[in-house]
Order: sequence, then structure tokens, then C-alpha cells
Amino acid sequence: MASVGAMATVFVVPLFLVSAAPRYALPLFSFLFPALAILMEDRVFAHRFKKWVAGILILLTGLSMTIALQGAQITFEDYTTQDMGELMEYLSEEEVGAVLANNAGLQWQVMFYANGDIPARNRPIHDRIPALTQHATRVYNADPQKAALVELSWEYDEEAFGPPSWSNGIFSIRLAPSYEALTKLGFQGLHPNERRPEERIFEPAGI
Amino acid sequence: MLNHLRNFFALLVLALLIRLPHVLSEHFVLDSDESVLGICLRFMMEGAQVYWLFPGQKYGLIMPELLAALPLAWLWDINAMTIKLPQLFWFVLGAYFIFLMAKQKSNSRFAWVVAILLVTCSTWFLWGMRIRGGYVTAFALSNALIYLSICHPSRSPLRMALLGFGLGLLFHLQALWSIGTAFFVLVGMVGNRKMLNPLGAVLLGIAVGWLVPNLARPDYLFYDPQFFTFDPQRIAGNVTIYVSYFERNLNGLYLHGRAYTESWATQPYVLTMRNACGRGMGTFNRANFPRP
Repeated sequence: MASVGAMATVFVVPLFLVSAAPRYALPLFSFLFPALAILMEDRVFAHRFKKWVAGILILLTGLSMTIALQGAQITFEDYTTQDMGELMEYLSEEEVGAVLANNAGLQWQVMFYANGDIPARNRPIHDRIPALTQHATRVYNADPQKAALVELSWEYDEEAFGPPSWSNGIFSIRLAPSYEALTKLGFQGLHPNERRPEERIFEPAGI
Repeated sequence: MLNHLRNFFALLVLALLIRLPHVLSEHFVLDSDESVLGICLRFMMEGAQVYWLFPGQKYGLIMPELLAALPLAWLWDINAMTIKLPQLFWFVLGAYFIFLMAKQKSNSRFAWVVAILLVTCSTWFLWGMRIRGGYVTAFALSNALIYLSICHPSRSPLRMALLGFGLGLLFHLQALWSIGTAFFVLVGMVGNRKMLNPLGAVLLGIAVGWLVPNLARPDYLFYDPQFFTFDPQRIAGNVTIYVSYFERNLNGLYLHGRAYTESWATQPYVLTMRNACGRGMGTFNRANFPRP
């Protein structure tokens, strides 16, 4: 009964998901084996199907190991460690102070691989860790020339930003991207060359 | 105890060895959610901030994953290996509870076959190493709760409170796992005649388990998606991708990119799994609900 109920949740729930991402079916593999163990406790079942079950499990293990041995070719992201290394090297060479990433999620990868040295943000002014978004925004606002737009190469809008300053086929970078193009792309909260209020106090009148 | 440690360690080594070709390849990188957790770990190590839940969300307990990554990250700094490989501990722990279950219900040989399949299977090949907000930890906790309920039923209120606490925590790790696991826990309880006390203890445990991560709820909410829908159009859409949803899940080698199908073994693996699930469910139904 427990197995049937648990399995039913795995098979019924996906019908009502707003976003049916395959990872939500991972419990299937978790509930399958307790269910199988309970089945194997039944002597009649175990007697009749033991060899079949063992055969299928060994076949699956063999197939899994075959896939795993080709693990060096298994890809699940668009980039490799080399691609990311090249990106980091260029950002470091150009002393980029902040990254603006159009692809949702890329800002986190940039910040992680930069060891926290380069703040990055996506288009919305709000993100998971507000302090990091605000940091990247502050760096841009203080000096837009220190910022860079980092895009996946096939998403890079050459018409809006001009030719990329650098590209390795996976990532494309535009140093000091234009404020107009960034705003048109949907980057919120950018105010280039915004100076702090205390700096304005000493500005000569009329400027 | 030594026996448990030896068996667990053997499975852990196998899980690691089978993944080595991938781990040492240039494709061993972090996705965006894993990068978020890597940044959280950096904040934690620098003493800047401690994150209990996935930042910007009110669910997704990440502390157990961060704690697993802490020792290696402390020794060799934060990188893809030091934060992803320790997650195998949680994954193999989950597999070990299934091993114990299979051993008790059948025999040692069957248990080893099941455990070896689990730690090497394509479905969990990548997901067993993911530091991504509760998947490996939900696998471990769910299997621990099922093991305790099915293999060591007890009506002691303390045990029941513990099971309830586990269910409450599981809800915060991955809510979808908690519903199915609750079936195993509740059915494990039905065998008890004196239901009232244990039921009260389970409910109390659930309440506490649910409350603990909520005490650390961030005041900043960025991502609060709607999970379920009763919109007929959306349900129809889910029906059309229903089989592919399970097939991609069983394949396991996917995320933002395309599913990996380059190995000749991928499709036979998925089809065998799919048909075995179907046949297994059919056999189980016939055995438990015979036609009059």
C-alpha cells in the first residue's frame, strides 16, 4: 500500500506542475527500490521473479557503467572549464570591475569562478543576494568604463552593442557597453557616472 | 558497526571511481544554482553570512550540503571538486539505507546488486554530486525515514516524533519527496494498534521539523514560484510531455543543455528502466489487488 501511494504521487504530481522539470521525478528512483525490496519479501513473488529481477538489475548496471565510462564526454552545461578559464583570464587582464550578464544565471557562474573578486548582475535590480547586485550596480554607476557585458556568444546582440571586444565562441564580452543598449536590453537601476551626494556639494555652481 | 562502515565506504569509493572520467574532464563545471551555493559557502567561510535556505527563497534547505562541502573547501579552497564531490556522501548514505532495506527484505547478494546499480546508475550519475538545494539530502533523508518505518517499526513516541521531524525537514529539502515518503511512514504506523499517541508524536515532529528552518527564513524573498496548476491547458501540455518527462529523468544526464544521448547505452538504459517500472507496477497491482 505504501509503495502504491508513494509511486502514485510520483506519477500523478507531474500532471499538475507549472513547470514539469524532469528533476522533479527523481523521487521515482528513491521509491522504486523500497517498493522492490517489499516485493522481494513476498516469497511467491521472489520465487517466480527473482531471476528476472536480478537479470534486469544487472543489465541496468552494465548499461550504466558503459555510460559512465564515457563520462569525459558527458556535457550538461554550455561551457567547459577551459572556456570559463579564458573568460576569467580576459576579465582579469582588462581589470573589469563589474560584469553585466544578460543570461539569467550566468552572473552567478562569473562570480563563483572569479572567486568573489568581480561582482556581477543580471537585468532585474532584484536578485537572490541583493548585496551582490547592488555592488555590481554601484561599480557600474561609479565608472561605466570599468564594466563589461558578458553574454553567451549565440545570444550576443551585435547590432545593439557593436562587435564584441573579445569572444571565444562560447562567451562574448563587450567592454564598457553603451548605457542606451543596456537599458534597452532591460538592465534596471543603471545611472552612469552617478556621483555620491557629498561630491556634488563641492561642484561649482552652474555645472 | 565496522561492517556498516566498510560497506558504506566500499559504495562511496565505487560511486567516486565510476564518476572519475567525468570529474577529471573539462565538462565538470558548475551550473548557476550550484554557483549560488558555492558563493553562499564562501560567505559562510568568511563569516560574512550564514544561509540556511537557498537565498531569496522560502524553501530549499541548503545547510546540510554546505556542511558536507565545508571540510574539503577549508582544506583546498572552494572549487567545483571540493564542493560537488562531498555531496556523494549524502547520495551514498541514501543508497546505503536502500542497501540495508534490500538486505533485510531479501538477502545480501540482492542488496549488493541493488546498491551497485544505485551508485552507478545514469539517473543519479550527475545528480548524486549536485549541490543544488536539497536533492541529494532529500534522497538520504527520505530513504532513512523509509528504512526506519518499514524495517524497524516501533510505536515509541520518541521514534514517531523523530519520523515526524524528518518529514518536516524533508518538506523543506524537497517538498515533492515528503508526500511519497509520508506514505511509507504512515503505512509503517498502521501496524500499530495504539495509534493515537504515535500519531500525535508524528504530528508534533512534523510541526517542529517544519518550524526549525522557518525560524531562519530570509526576510528577502526573490523567487516565490507557483508550483501547482489546475489550468486545463497546462495539464494537457503536461500530458503531451508525460513520457518524455520520465525518460529524461531516467536518463539523468541533462540540465540546461540537451540530454546526453551520445552513448549507445543511454537509450537501452532508459527503455529498460521505463519498461521495468511499468511491468513492476503491473505485477505489484495484480499481487495486491487481485481481480475478483
